[in-house]
Amino acid sequence: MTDNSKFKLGLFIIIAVVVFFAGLMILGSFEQFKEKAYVTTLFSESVQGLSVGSSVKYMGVPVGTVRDISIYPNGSVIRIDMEIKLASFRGKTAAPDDVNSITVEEFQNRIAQAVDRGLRCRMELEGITGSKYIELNYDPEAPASAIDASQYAIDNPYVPSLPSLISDLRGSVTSILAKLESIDYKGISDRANDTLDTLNSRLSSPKFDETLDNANSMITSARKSIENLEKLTDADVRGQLENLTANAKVAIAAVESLAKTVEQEIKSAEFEQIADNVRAVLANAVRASRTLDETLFNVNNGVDALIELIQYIDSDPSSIIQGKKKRRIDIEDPGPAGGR
Amino acid sequence: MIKKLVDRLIHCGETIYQLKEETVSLIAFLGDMAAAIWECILHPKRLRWKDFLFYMNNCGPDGLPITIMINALMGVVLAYQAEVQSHKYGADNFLPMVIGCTILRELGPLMVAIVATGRNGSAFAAEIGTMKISEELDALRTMGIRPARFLVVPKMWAMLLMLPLLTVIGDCVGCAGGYLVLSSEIGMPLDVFLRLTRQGVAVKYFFEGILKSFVFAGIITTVGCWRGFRTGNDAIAVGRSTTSAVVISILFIVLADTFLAKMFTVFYGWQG
Repeated sequence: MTDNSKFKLGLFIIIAVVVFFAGLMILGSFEQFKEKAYVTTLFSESVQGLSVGSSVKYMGVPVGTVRDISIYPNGSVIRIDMEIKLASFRGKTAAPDDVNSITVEEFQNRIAQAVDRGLRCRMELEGITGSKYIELNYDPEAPASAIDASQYAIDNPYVPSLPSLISDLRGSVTSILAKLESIDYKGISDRANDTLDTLNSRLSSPKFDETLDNANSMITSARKSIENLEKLTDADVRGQLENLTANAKVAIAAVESLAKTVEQEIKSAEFEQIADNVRAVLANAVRASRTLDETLFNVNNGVDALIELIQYIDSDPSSIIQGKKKRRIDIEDPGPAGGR
Repeated sequence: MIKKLVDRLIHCGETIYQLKEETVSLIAFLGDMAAAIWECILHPKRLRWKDFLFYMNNCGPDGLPITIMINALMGVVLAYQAEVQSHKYGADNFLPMVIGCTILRELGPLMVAIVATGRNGSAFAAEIGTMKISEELDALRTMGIRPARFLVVPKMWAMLLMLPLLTVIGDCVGCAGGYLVLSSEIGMPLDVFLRLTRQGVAVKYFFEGILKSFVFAGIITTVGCWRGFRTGNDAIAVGRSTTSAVVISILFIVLADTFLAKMFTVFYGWQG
């Protein structure tokens, strides 16, 4: 074996080994040596389609795989352990150059806080093949799984689960079917049969035939009436309408001539002079009215004075002869009448 | 009519007998070879190191150009075919996974093994067959040297070491050929191709292909040497044994590949 061949062989081996390790690196074999954390959830429904190695996604981002699926002794709760790659989660700061992944403790704290904010696990279909993956997503509105996790010894951070969409769908379908089952189809059928029987008996009764005959005769009469009406319209009514129209025209012409005459009369009358006279008369009437008011006021005063005089005379008749007495001034007892 | 039927029956009987003889000889050869390999493991000095290095060079670096070319073209062809179909359905993102899985698990090891069969398996059969015709094997036995240890073990070790390395390089250039097509046809960037390959192709598929190549190396060497030892004494015997070495090797490789594919599927099922 020549030196050239030895060099060629050595070079080949070096290249092959380098390619081997490059392949391992590209395919992520060294991921095995990176730090991981574990998260656990519990399901109380079938996990058909989920298997060890199924993806785990955090809001759609692949962050790990399912590592173990086991059934608790009660037989109704299934435990899913998930392995999470911490390299998928950034460090404390959101700075672009801070690409250091978080530690296991930080991750556990984050998961605990996220669960408080509504982080839940849910099985989702991965494609059309029926395989499933676990989606970690925030859904605080959705009702949590009815599993009491405190009854089970879980050493990893626990994330509550939600029923899968298929489970929800199955529940809805079951509910719809239950409602459908509760419908009294036999009763409806019986009532429909009764109705049909009643209808049948009514249709086959002699009264129905009589009604039909009446209806037929009514239709015949109506048809005849329509025909008569058509005939009437064609001959007599047309002549009468023509006469009526001619008379109406004559009447309208008479009304028009009357209106013209009235208009001319109105135009010929001296409405302005009349109006001025009327206005002057009205002004005099207003003045006369005011004078009359004053006169009546004076008369009223005179009547008051006369009434007062009569009352005075009536109380003291001698005053007609003696005249009006002078009023005595009483200093000690002024009294309410003292002012008079 | 009856004579023809009898002749055919005789022919069938002869074929079955011949098949039985060949099977027995193959099992015997396997035993002889296993004993020789075990002897060399216990006493490494008895291994012919110069021959071992020669065959390493022969099986490895000398076969590298044709292996690279074949595997790169296989990657190109596979990517073209897959791209035409999957592009209709907008499934371009699955192409790196399809190419990676197919090449790492099946096509890479298979094509490297077929190339090695054509290059080395036939050469082993021709070499030993020629030695048999020239009675060198009888001479070795006369000198007390076991021909299996002298001739087969260096070839076997060389092939077992070189074929997996060739497969590693073949896998790499196959994926590179696929990437060239995806890059030119749909403009897929290299980092996207690598990321999608990494997402869709598990490391176990890489090791699956390498493990297969160990099995294929054993088949190629065993069948090549066995057909060489079974070479007749006439002038065309070497050519016949060479041809049969290639044909039987390829048949056994495909059968082994089928069996291994099933075995790995079951194993992955157990593993989850």
